[in-house]
Formats: sequence, structure tokens, C-alpha cells
Amino acid sequence: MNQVLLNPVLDATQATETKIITLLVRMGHEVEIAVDHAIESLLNSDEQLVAGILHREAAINEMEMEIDKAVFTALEDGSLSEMEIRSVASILKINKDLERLGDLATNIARSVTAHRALDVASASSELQPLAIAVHHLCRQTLRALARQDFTLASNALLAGASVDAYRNYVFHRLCERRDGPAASNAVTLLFASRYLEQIADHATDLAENLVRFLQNNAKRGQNPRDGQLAS
Amino acid sequence: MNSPAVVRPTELSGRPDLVELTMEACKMAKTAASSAMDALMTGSAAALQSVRDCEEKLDDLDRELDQQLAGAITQVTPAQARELLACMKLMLDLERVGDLIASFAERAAIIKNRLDMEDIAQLTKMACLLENMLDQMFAAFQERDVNQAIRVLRSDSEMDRLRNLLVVRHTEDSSALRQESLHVLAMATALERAGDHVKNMAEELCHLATGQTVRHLIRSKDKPFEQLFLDWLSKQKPAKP
Repeated sequence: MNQVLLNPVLDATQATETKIITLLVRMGHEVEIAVDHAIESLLNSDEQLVAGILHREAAINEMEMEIDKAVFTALEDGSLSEMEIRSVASILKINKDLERLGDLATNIARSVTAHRALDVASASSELQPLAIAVHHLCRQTLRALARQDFTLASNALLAGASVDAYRNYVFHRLCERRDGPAASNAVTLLFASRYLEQIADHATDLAENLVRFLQNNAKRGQNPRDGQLAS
Repeated sequence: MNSPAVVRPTELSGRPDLVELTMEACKMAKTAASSAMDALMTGSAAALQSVRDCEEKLDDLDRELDQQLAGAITQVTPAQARELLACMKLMLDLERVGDLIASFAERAAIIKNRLDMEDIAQLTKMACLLENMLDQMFAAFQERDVNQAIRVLRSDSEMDRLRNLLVVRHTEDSSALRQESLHVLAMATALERAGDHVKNMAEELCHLATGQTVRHLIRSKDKPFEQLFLDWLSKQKPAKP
């Protein structure tokens, strides 16, 4: 597991915030695995991965509630400064985005089981570019969270545009298939690409909130890795 | 009437301004949906401009709430602090709803002359449903009415169904797929995602009003999770005023 770099001088407030961030990083790690497996199970119609994803969902939901509770406890304590409150507010947004990503991974897993008749594996060659782009975006964002790396988070934001291009590619391949025997897989392609787009959407939202969180921390002088932080 | 599904706010007077800001954003999103529908049906430039103005206003409201939140939270009770944090989450969804509606309207302006009447009818139904969901959400938030929030959750299923109908219409046979199909499906997806965000808002409201989360209920095969939540609520004691 990635370690959170700590400011050498910790007061009680910073210790609380560090604890919350550690929880968030752990949750990000679980979500990354869930999304990885979900995309793989989608492309390969692999039901064996599904059970693991569903099991992980419960753990991710628990972590979300734990982080929410820790944030509210910190706020109710009444000792946070305005900058610190902004920071924990950003954490709440990131928490929400992570939980949504976990939900999407679960939805994909359930659909792989429910739609056995849809042979996604036969359409995987069309889906692969989009799946790879989405997977890369997600990984970049969650790694940025784990390392609290502003540069990585900013790059993840830019990667969102390539997902739209690959989605259009999927659709154009769909149009090319329309006259052939594989036309019945058109719905399969659209259904699968929709899930991938939703993951990309939430990963981009998470990257945006992460960028704001890291910018706020930089103003407080607390980023482990400032990179090329914009002022 | 005291029903477990209607939890009245404990303080109706002296609400923090940020709650009013959030309600204003909800109304703005509804106006955007209404203007987007108008832009689709009539091709009116004024309607498209109205959508753009609403989107900009939603961005401004989001920024304003972000700026004021940190200061406001230090001056309120713990219960009000939770309410303000819920407002922050709702505002996040509303800002994204504004972006999605704007994306829908811009695309509609580009291809309006090439759309089939059937596509226009379906997309209009979806936009109308979104407008209703935002209206219900506003009412639910104003009164902390869990019943209204549940209605919003149910409406999202209808939104998904309408989108799927469009997908099937454009893919059912080889003649159905056209260049415009990409735009139509992108517009339908934008509205469906906006519906998802309003659904998120309804879930957040349920959490604010009852202290329990809808999303984490285990889904059973036979009941949708809204029904599970209602069943669970009916077993709880009524909330104290």
C-alpha cells in the first residue's frame, strides 16, 4: 500500500486530517482494484471476477461511511481553521466520487452476470481502445490520489478528452457492422461502452476535486509533492 | 400527520443563506431543462442562450457556495453543519446537471434540422422528465420530504428506459443507424446522466433527512432499493419534531 508522506510537525488537527486522508487512500486502492476487475470481466465476460467485485463493494461502502463519520467528527470538534474546513470539504467530494466509482464497478459486474446472452467478448476488439483509455484515466487518477500528486491529477483531467474520441470510434465501428451478421452485437457494444464512459466521467470528476484539494493544501504548505503546482 | 417518511426540518426560520443558494441552484437547473426542451422543439436562439446563462449561473453559485462554506460551517450547530455539507454535495450534482443540459442543448442546436420527429418526441419526453425530477427535488429539499425523494429515485428508472428505447430504435436494424444517430444517442446519454445526478441528490436528501443511506442497502432480486428503503423506514420509530 502507498504510504502517505507526513509533515514532520503534527498537531492534533493535522493528525486527524492525516488519518482521514489515509482512509481515503485505502479506499482509492480498493476502488482501483474493483474497477480493474470490472473492466476485465466486461471485456472477457469473466464471471469469476464478479464475486470478488461484489465483495469489495461492501468494503468500499464501509470505508465511505467511515470517512464521512471521521469528517463530521472533525468538523464538530470546532477547532478547524477555514483552510482546513475547505480541505475536508474537498475530501467529502472525493469520497463521494470514489464510492460512485465503486458502484459503477459493481453495476458492470452485475450486468456481466445478468446479460450472459450478450457476447461482449466477441466485440472486445472494438471496445479495447475505449477500455484501455478508461482504464488508464482511472488508474492515473487513483494513483494521483494515493501519491497526492498534483501533476498526475492534472494529467488525468486532460486524459478525459481521449475517452470521447475512443467512444466515437466505437460508434463508427458499430455503423460499419450494421450490414453484417454481427449487427446484433450493436446493442452489446453500446451497452458496454456506456458503462466505460460513466467510469471515465466519474474519474474525471474525482481528478477535478483532487486538483482543488491539492491546490488548497499547497496554500497551507502541506503537499508532499507539489510538482508544478499552479499558484 | 407524522409519518416516518416525512421529516420536517427542525428550524424553518433563520436558515443559513447557503441552503437558499442551493435551492436557487435547483430552480436554475429546472429552468435550464425547460429552456433546453424549448430549444429542441422550436430551435429558438433565445432558448439556447437561456440554457447557457443558466449553466454559467450554476457555475457561479457553485463557486459562491464553495467560498462561503468554510466560514459558515464554523458558525452553526452540528445539525446545520451537516445540512451545509449536504448542500455542498447537492450543488456539485446541480453544477454537473447544468453542464450536461448545456451539452444537450448545444448539440440540439447543431442538428435540429436533421432530427426525426420520433427522436425529437423521445428526447422531449426525457427533458420533460428531467424537469419534473428537478421540480420534485426542489420540493423534497424544501420540506425534507423523503416521499418526494423516493419519487425522484423512481423517475430515474423511467429515464433509463426512455434512453434504452432510443438506443434500440437506432440499432434495431441496419437501416436505423445514421450519422445523426451518434448525436441523438449522445443527447439521450446527456439527459440520462443528468437524471443520475438528480437521483444522487435524492439519495443525499434521504441521508440528510433520516441519517441513513439508501445506496448501501443490499439489493434483493424482487424489490428495487427504493422499496427496501421504504420498508426499512416503516420499521423505524417516527422522527421526533
